[in-house]
Amino acid sequence: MKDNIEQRMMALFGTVAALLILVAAIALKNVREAEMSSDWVNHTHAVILETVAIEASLQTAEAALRNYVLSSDARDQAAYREAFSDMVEHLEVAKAMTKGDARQQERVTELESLVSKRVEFSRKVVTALQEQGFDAAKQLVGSDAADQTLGEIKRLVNKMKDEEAELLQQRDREDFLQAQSTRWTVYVAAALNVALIGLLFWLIRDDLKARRQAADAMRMANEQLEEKVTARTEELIKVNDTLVLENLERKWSQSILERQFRHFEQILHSIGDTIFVISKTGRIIRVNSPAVKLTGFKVNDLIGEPFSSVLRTDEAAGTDPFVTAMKEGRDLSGVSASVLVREGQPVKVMARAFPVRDNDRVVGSVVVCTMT
Amino acid sequence: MTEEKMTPRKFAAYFKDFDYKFHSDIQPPEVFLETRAGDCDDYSLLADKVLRKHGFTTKLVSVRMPGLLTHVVCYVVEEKVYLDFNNRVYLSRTERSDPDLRSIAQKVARSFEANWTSVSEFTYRDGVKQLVQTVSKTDTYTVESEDKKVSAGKPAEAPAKKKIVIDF
Repeated sequence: MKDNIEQRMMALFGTVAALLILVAAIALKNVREAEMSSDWVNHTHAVILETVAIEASLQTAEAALRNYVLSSDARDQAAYREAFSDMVEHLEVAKAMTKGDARQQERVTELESLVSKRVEFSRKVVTALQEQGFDAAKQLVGSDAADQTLGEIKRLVNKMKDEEAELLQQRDREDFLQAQSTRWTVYVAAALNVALIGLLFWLIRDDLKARRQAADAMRMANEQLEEKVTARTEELIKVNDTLVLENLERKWSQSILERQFRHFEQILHSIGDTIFVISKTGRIIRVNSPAVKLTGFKVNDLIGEPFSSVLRTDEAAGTDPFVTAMKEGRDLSGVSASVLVREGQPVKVMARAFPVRDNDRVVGSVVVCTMT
Repeated sequence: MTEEKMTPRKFAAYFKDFDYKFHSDIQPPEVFLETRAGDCDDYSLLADKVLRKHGFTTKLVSVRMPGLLTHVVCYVVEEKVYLDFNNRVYLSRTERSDPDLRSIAQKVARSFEANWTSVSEFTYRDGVKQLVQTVSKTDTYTVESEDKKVSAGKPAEAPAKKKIVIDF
């Protein structure tokens, strides 16, 4: 789940970043295009101004020329020269600025031709004034009244202005659409970014909530586990205490049993008669010290041996009165028998047998032998 | 002005205390120097005259900005700087620029915090201004994105024609 949320958050962050980069790129592109649109609008205004200035400076120049013809004053001459110079400058600039527009170029060329005519005429007037005097110049100026060139120039300038005004309208519209496009780009991108950031916020909050719930569940599980461990530890402590106690009691019981056994052994060994304890199957399971002394065998050599091989009666072979009496659960006394001795001749004894009972069931027999 | 080793910087330094005073026509140099007041035309034309005499290659540049605002500077080719009357009061009185008209126009217009529309190189002899070359800012746009911009027709190659000369 964690990985999934991380992936989603990374994807959202990536989308927001990509969107920002895209918006920045579009904004930069739009700014560049807006600059271009603005430049085109400025360009159109400039062409209009230059075109109007051609006509205005021509009129100024011709007025100054006429003044010069009348006054022959150097200041008037400087004035018409400067005005003509300005007119040429405006014409050159208008020509340079409309070189991308074939129709306007055509008009500028025509305008240049007409202006050139006016300049040539002015040159003639000045030459006439300087070479032939005032009257010749005055006559020349007077003959100019019927010239239609100025009207043609005015018409061309107006055409150029109209054309530029139309272009201005279109370029201004482009500029407006450009600004509107930029505005919408920014609005849409901002709205998208806000939505994405909102989604991101929701995801983070959801993730934090899930993490808090997981932490709570973990804490509760830990608490329950700790409770269980505590309870189990207490149980184990109790069991351990009980075991320690039981062990102690068992040791005590063992000690008592050992003492009783030793006591029994001491009693058995302190009896002066020879005693054999035999099992239900007729095998020796215990002997006392006089029996060991009498037979000359070690205790371990006697234990497990058939009683009939140590104590032989005078009865016929194949019958053992001790076993028979034991099976029948009765005492037996006054049985004459011989005890096998390790080194030497068997010793004659008078034997008695007493069955051993455990809850009324015969489990063995005690045979007491007295030497005769 | 009569220093043997005149440089654009030394020339510009001479005008640090001059006042700005606009004249519609260009003042004779002696009037400009005597009154210690003038405008960009007076300063640039004088710079052009003086520095040319001291062996520099100069060009007069007229930058047009929207609203009939025109500013004239004098570019010194060897130093790759231009002299601008508006910079006379600053510590750095010359401005570095590439020699092409576009670069000069860009810098000049930026100093006015304005756009430029066209720029011309011109000469001034005997009270007459003669344009050598004119560049429009939108020239590059018509080459770069001709189809996008409103244009009434394809660029036309103007026939080479003799320039109108005002010499009378």
